[in-house]
Amino acid sequence: MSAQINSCEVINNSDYLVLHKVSKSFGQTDAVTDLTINVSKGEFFSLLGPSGCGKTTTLRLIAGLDKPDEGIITIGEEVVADAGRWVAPEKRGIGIVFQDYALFPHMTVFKNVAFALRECGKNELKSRVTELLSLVGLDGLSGRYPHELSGGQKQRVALIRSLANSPKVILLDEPFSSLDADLRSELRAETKRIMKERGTTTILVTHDQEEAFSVSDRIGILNHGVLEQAGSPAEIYHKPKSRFVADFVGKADFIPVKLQDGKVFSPIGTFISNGLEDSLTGEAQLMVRPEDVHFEPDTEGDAVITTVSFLGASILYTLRLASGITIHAIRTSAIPIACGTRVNVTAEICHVVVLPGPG
Amino acid sequence: MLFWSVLLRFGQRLGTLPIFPFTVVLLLALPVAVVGSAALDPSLEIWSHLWQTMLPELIRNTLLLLAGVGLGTFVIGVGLAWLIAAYRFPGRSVLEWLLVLPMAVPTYIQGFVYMATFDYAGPVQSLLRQWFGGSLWFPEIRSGAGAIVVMILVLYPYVYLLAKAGFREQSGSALEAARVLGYSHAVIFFRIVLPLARPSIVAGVALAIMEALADFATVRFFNFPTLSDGVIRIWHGMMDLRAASELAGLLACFALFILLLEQGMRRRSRYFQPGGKTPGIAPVRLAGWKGWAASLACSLVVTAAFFLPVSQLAHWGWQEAGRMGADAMFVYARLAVNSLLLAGLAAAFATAVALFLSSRTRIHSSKAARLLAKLATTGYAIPGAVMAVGILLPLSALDHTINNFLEAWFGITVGLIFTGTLVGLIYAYVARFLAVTYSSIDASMNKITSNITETAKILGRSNWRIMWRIHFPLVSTGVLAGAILVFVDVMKELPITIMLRPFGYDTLAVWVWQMAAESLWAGAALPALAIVLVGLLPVIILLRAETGKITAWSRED
Repeated sequence: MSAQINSCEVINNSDYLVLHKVSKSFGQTDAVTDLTINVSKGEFFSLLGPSGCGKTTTLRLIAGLDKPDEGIITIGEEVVADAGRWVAPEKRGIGIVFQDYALFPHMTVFKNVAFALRECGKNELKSRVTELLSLVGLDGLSGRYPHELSGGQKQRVALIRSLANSPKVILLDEPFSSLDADLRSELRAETKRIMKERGTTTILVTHDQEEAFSVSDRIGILNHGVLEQAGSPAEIYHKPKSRFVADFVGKADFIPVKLQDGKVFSPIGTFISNGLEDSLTGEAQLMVRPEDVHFEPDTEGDAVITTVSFLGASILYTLRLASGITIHAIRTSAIPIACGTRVNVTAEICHVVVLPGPG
Repeated sequence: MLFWSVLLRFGQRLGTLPIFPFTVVLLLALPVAVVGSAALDPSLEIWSHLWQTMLPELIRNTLLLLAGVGLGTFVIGVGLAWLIAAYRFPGRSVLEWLLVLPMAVPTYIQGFVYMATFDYAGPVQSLLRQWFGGSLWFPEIRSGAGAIVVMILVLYPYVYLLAKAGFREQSGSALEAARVLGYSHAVIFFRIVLPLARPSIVAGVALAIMEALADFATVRFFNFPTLSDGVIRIWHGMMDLRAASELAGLLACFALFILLLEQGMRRRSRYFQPGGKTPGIAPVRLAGWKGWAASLACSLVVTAAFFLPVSQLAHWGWQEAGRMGADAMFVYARLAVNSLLLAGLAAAFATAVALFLSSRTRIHSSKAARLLAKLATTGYAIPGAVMAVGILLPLSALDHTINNFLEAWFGITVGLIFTGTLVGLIYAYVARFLAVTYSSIDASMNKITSNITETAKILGRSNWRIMWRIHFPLVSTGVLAGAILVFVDVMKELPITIMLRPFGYDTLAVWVWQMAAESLWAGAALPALAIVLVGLLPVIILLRAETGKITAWSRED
């Protein structure tokens, strides 16, 4: 997982795209409830969540393909949807890339891209399409039909078609999901580069946390139509505000702990939490990520390895502590340790995350 | 069942020799070959005579008819399909299937009802004269325009149905992408939706045009003779086989041209309708007067094309039933029995041949087998008059040969065993309508993957057992639907029946034609109503298939 914080990218114009208390239901089902999101100009923002969490609905609400029941949506300075106002999708100045690319099958690559450029002279049209094609390395393919393109090429055409009009916001609806793994990471990096170079505000919808981490400035985690948390990839990973977020973006164990005087007492050590108020006492849950857990074989150790899963570069071990609690630990696979070995467990936790209440 | 077991045993005797399928295909392709050879070997004398008398008018009228019907069905069919597929308005769900009903009305029935209603002596003009005086101008009904309008009214459902399916199959995301790119509904319709649905629309228009090309009765009512009418006129009027077959050859060329044009325009269709996972066009609600205007437009079409003629027929039929005696009832009963017998026999034979061909192309999935099947099913493009001529020529030659032979050697007179009986008629029906049942069966056969057939083969089953035990049970619904479609088509078919029926063998369709030609509307009404009612059968099947598809689709969603 390549979480990187782009602290150098100072974002001035905050609140370029705003969803304020937006709700949308389809019949009995609430797709999105009371959703508030602020995205800055030029920001790459991802909506992450399991299928059916409302992320695609959110995207369609921004695009104007669906109308919100309640709430306000603004793009740039303009209110595009509220109780009295409604701007049609064709007037919002946005670009969208669908999962199936939605290329027009009866048009060549050139015509597909040119379709997006309306008020344009013939010569200018030609030069702009050519420029866009070379942006994604598709020079020379302008005469091909969509069925003559590979998946990656189709995705690139869809991307430049959505960019052609220099839209205020680009919406990407799982655009990488039907590509194979190598191509996916290549296209992700390319898409991110293009968006950053052009300073385009981008919203990506995905269910793949690795994808969200690798491209986003910020991520919003959606669950059952509610925004659980929004923040930088590192914040989301290291400081999840709920068990759902912690579980969704990576492997995490929650072990019962006692709180006292701002300290966390756990079976694998005592930790000091900065954010924790001293007054908070009693039972709680401590988040432990597998990479925070260390263990050494020790015949006298009070924990035991119960399963060993070989993952390639690393091995994921399941450990049963003396108290009967199981936690996971990850170690390099160079020196494997057998199942059933007795071990001593310690933990080194930089970001202490404690959720209130017993498990 | 007995029929099948006989066929099965017969097949087992033949073993795996490809003689049988070849014979079937040859028999089906024979009429086309006969007419084709007549066209390839033109007699200068006949053509110069034809050219001097009627040919220029026939060709001009045919071209006008095809252009008019093509354009009219295109505009009305596509327009209605777009309204239904893309908008929601009052009564849409009912109108969606009501708009299919005119399919049940054959062109000649629509033709005579319209003519009786709107002609100079008809109720509409009489009433208008009563109100506004005798000098009132009214468009001439007995004209090309009249024939074209009448045909559009019953043939537009072909375009409507296929265009609607074409619109529904389109991926919704392509349309949404176009909207987001800043285009209005109207622009998207002309630049994305219409081009994408082109293959379906072309197929629909081609079907409508082929029907118009085959029609001879309507154009004769409207005094607008076309090539089909010409063939039958020469046939009946002059008994000139040679000239009729030459003209039939020209008619066949027209049909072939339409077929090639259609195939050419659909070539890329494979790529055009991706039918993506995303649901198709999401209908937009038409609010206020726009919504009511849409439902009014649809209602007007259905009323003009179906309810008006059917209620007129019912009115005449009621009058006729009131004064009908026992002998008239007997005549009607005989007509019905004749029609049902013919339609039933033709449906049974066509189904048997189609099943055989379809299964055969799967067992021997060779190019040749598929080509044979394609050749055998081109009959649908052949106008009835051409088919009749193409069958009559060889059969009557055969009849006379057999008769002369038997008389000369054994002194027995058997008469005309093919052309004097129902054999020639059934043969022509099967050759003409095989494609209808074949495509229905073949569509359900497509559900049988080649793996199923191969598994059966590996288990060591004979081809006949695979057909009998595996393929047939899996396609029973398609078989039934195909048989019903042929049944109804034969009930409606006029040119073939008129030309090939044994002397004095009247059917419902023939009776309607004869009565209407004599302007005896009331006498034609009851048999015409019967044909329309039977014609509703395939419409119902079609609707059930469509709603079935829709429920399956929404369940999947």
